[in-house]
Amino acid sequence: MTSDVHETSGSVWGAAATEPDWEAVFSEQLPRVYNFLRYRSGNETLAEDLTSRTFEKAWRDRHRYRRDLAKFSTWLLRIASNVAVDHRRTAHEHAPLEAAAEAPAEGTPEDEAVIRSNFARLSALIAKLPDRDRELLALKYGAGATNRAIAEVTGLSESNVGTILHRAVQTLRAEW
Amino acid sequence: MDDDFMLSAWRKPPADFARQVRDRLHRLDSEAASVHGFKPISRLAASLAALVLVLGAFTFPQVQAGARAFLDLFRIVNFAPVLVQSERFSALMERQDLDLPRMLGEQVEVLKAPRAPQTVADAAAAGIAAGIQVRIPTWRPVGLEPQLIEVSADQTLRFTASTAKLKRVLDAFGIDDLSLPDGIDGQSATVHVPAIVRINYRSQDHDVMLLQARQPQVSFPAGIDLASLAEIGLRVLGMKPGEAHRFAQNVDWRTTLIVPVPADVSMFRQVDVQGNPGLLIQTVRRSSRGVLPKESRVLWSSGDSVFALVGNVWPTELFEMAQSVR
Repeated sequence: MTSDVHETSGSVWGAAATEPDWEAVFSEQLPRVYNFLRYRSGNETLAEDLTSRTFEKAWRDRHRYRRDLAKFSTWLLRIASNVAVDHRRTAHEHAPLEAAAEAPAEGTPEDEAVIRSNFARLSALIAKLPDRDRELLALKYGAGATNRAIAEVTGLSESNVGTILHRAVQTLRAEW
Repeated sequence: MDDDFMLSAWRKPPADFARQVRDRLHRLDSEAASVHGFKPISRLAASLAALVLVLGAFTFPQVQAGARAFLDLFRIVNFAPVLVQSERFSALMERQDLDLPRMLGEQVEVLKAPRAPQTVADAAAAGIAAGIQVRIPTWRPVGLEPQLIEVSADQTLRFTASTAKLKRVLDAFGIDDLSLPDGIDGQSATVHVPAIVRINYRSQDHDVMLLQARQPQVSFPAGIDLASLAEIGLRVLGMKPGEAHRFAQNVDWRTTLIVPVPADVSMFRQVDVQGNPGLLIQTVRRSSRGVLPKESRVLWSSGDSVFALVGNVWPTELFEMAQSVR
């Protein structure tokens, strides 16, 4: 999960392939895209929907991918990012974020419940951040992307990415 | 709070969800395989309007000696794609000594000119304007919504044969082993193109157009040897002599519409649309990355109506739309 998107993306390509190995893409990239959109939206159901859209769009547009311009995972995350932006443009703000803000800080002993609880609270805090910060946090911790990969996806400089992420995490820490 | 905490909320996608996405991608993958498995052929005229022009082109060599014409002899049941070399026609159309556009234009008389398309509020209004029961797809790709419904008025054209000009066309194509039937000179074929309903669908990335109309009515002289005339037409379209002869002899020319399509840019396959023979065509474009999909088309007829779906969605999606038209 924490492996570098930028470095591992080449493994989805066969030796002399002109298209990615979609089984490899699926296994390797689905968790990253799903968690990017999960962190980004704060809503697991919505994240599933947006992830499906991302993979379908990537598949349909695969002929537009240019290997000489970007790593496949970077290209895929750009699509995921655009899918999320498109969704926000057309959808009303969904309630779960507001509901999550009231989620208890302490969950049940079960791991899943803890994760859900932490995620709910974390999502509520992330939702308060500027949109750009949310995007970067989702790329960093959801997609497991390096600052360099995030810079490629967002168009920001690598150092700027690092600075924004540092401040965003500091803000979250203060609010936690 | 540190990176570990930020990552602690990370979780694997639910297995059911992962399986659903995987299944969907596999389905898309198999759809792509079927597209890549198409026979290389042609690009078809762009719409039902273009289809009518194709019909006109098809009926032109059918004009034959004989006095009595009757309506509805020709009825579109089957679609037969024929590969054509587009550069062959481009070169011919540009030949100054032949002036083919003018020459052919002189043989076409507009008996009833079409009016500008009329925008209507809904399918019911379109049906009233066109005099048909308008059908619509009950399934559409996600996001694709109806945007515009237009109805174009009917029109009638008459084609008159000139053996001298047809001979010049045959000569221009270098066809010297076929002769024109006797008595064809001055005979006419009339094509009535009914009103056409066009429904445009649009999403952020895709445009699809559904066209529907009654069967065109074609009248031409009785007692003609359609197969012999069709063979001439097939040769003009670029088919090789032996193939054109076999094709012409094995096709029912009273129920088959020839669809000329450029051989260098498209792929096609014949399909079954709600129990009716149809034709699915994908136009492609060539780039440094190879042959890439561009646009898909499905043509089919049902009862007394003819349909065409044209759009930049995947051919399987367009086909699914066609199957859902009710």
